[in-house]
Amino acid sequence: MSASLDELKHLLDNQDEIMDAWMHRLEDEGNEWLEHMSIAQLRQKSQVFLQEISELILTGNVDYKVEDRPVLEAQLKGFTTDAAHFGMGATAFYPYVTSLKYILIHKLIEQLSSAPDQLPAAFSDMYKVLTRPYEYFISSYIAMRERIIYSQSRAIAELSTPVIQIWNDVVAMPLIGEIDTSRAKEIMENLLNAILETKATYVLLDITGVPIVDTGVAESLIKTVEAARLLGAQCVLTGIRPEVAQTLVMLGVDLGSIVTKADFRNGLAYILEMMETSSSRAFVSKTNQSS
Amino acid sequence: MQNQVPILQMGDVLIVTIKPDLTDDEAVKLKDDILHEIKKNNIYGLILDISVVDLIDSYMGRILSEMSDMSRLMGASTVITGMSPYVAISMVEFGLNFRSIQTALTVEKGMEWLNISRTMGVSHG
Repeated sequence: MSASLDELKHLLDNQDEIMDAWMHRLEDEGNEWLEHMSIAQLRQKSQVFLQEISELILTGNVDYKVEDRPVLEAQLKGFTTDAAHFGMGATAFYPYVTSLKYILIHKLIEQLSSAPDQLPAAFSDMYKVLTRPYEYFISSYIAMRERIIYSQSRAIAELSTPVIQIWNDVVAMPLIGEIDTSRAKEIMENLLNAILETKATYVLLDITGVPIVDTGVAESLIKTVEAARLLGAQCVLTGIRPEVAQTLVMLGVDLGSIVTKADFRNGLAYILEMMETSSSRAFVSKTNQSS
Repeated sequence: MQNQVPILQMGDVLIVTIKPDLTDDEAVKLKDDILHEIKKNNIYGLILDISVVDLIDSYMGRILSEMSDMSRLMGASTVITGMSPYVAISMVEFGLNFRSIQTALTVEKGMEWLNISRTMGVSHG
């Protein structure tokens, strides 16, 4: 056991004193944690943290892993959840630990004034013990944020391509927001699966909520319509705004193979008319057959 | 005869299920059989069901459109039914779109379409 560790141990005999100084410093600095909890709450949380850190120093376990310390790990996970919940940044933990470092450095300097040659070793030990929790916090914070972002993007993707069955044999897909390559793919897959599920013959594809319709978007829409036709469903593209119509003609995009209507109402009217004619024809054919 | 593709007849409609691993010889034989059936039994419509086909490459695409074109020359309309979403997506990505061929979701809907088009033909003629 090195001499510096001995000094650190002496230092920790006075945990309460360190805690007081630490909390005081956090308050002076206006630490971000104090915006979300009282000093008493933070002190309670920090108590466990300081105890764990002290224990690591006292046992001389400088090269530990956070994963091997269940209490410390649980504590840090709590900090991570809080930080993510309060909307604090990934750096939220840094000033908190740095404050403790300051306190300890000052105490060490005071204590080792008679033997300054031991200072570097003591600093390095303390630094090692305090760095691990910080690293752990950062990585688990990033992992948590990534999980949140992933689930949000999934939710957005699902919300943004809803398929509604509005009539027997008719489904509608209102598209909202910009359409990029990955969304175009998702739109196509969702629509085709919905056609299969609902056995729909007619599809209303509404692009009122799509801000920009350029060549790429038009091409993906044409592909979607063609794929739906291959499955046996007929698409009507609705919600073509005047400026969209102008842009498409200016860009020379050929939507001639697709039935388009100005708004959803007209599209639905068109489909109902088609259904009526085809069902009356089917009726005629049945009566012809039976007669 | 071995490996013969069955051709079912319902009224004046033929129903053929295309299998995924159709060889050249089988395809030639199938085309021949279908055309003879059309001639022999005064067939009005042909339904090609491709619900078990999991990939339509240019070869399979050519076979299907050839069958449709030949049947049309003999007076029978063709409906392709049961295409799966992933086949449809890969087809539009390859630029195959079967524009001249009628499609339907299921065999039943294909039958419906044939009935409707028959009435149209009756009313127009």
